[in-house]
Amino acid sequence: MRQDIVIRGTTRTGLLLLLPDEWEFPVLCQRLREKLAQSGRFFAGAGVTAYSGRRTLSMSEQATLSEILREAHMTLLAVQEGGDPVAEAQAAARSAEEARRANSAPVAAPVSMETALVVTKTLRSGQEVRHPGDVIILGDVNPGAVVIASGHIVVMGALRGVAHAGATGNTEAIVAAARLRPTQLRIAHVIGRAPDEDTPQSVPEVARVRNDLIVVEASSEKRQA
Amino acid sequence: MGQVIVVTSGKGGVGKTTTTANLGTALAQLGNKVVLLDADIGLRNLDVVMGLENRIVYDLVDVVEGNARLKQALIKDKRMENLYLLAAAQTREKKDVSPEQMKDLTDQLSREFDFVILDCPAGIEDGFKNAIAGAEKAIIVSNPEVSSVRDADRVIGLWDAQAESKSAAMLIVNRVRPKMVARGDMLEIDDMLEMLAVDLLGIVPEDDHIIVSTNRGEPAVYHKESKAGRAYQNIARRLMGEQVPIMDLNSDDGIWAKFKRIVGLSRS
Repeated sequence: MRQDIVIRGTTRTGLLLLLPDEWEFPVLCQRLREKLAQSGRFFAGAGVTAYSGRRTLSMSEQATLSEILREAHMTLLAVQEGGDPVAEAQAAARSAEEARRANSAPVAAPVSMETALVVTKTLRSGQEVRHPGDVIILGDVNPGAVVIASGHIVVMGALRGVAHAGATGNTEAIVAAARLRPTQLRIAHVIGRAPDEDTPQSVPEVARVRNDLIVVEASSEKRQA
Repeated sequence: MGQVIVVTSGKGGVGKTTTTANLGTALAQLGNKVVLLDADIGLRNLDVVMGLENRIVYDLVDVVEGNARLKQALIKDKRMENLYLLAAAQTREKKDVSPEQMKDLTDQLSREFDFVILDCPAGIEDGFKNAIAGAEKAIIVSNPEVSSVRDADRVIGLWDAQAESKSAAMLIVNRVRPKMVARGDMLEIDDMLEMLAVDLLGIVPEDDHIIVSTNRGEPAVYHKESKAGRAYQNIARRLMGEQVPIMDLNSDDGIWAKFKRIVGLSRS
């Protein structure tokens, strides 16, 4: 389907008239007349800024456009080249964000419920959870069980098995547990194992990567900048 | 309808067969009609532990394949009138029986008996799948030792995964040596329960009587002086719905003696 002419209200500059690139100018005028006729006096009295897309309107074409609008009791305020300014602004912001992500180190996003998998049971030996995103476990992860996530892993009980966060390479991923007693921890490409001497800790802890090593600290500690 | 209970562990050698024999005998002593079913096809032991090896004519596979009627294959215990054994085939393999056939068999047995107790083979393969197919309750046997607990956890996971309608697994901690636990050389029962997150059905102490009674084909529950035998009697009563406190094994011999006297009195 061809893109139609768009007439839309904006906050400051009155109405906004988008003229699609695909249409020849005479056809465009014909279509605009039809559209305005359908609208009746709905737009009467409004000022209009026309966006001409990739084409440049000649003086006579601008006069024709102005005449059509006046017939519908509207005033042509300005004619600008280019498409929808709002959409273009959004697109520009998006590409800037993408560029920033590509160039700078990835930022640890907060645990997102949209991509998070919530497991509401204890994982026993031999059971495995894999998920592209964050994983939250409302239970324990027993020895012999495995959790693999591309995002963060949060265990509300005891983590005694193997956890691999940031499995697709995100070194900013974390593993947090109410009792962090893993057989082995992996974050991105970094592997850490439990110390051979058991140090009883009963505070919630968080594991993250620093200088290519897995570092474990109490989750209440302030994160260093 | 009687209860169909599978005794399983994952790991071998933790005392599944001993538990099956003693629980079955204890339940029979308490007046229940009990049948023990050896699901360890190809490596049968339960008949030996019960002292019934020389009475086997037909076995489980004969029944499943229609070579014998169920009634013909049931071996009556030599001491208890109301205790029966269905032996495993020794010359066959686990995969000669399907889970569906096992379920049909246990369904039939549960119509006639108060308790159907299945002695599960070690492992989590065909034999395990057969044994749990018809069971509605599971007793997990574990020793207070890391590899046994690990396997118990695996088996509990498989039990939980196979059907929601079945009841939660129950744990028997077997071969506990109170002095070693007290010294910290064995896993604490509380730590085992915390990790396995199941109900504790009983604690059975390590007991030399078990070796003697196994070799004689005479379950330990017949021996008044056997601590393990008494533990199994308590477990049997718990299975019948009675509230029996868990034995305190951490007490020294003096208190043990006292405890013995109390048990002796309460039984007379």
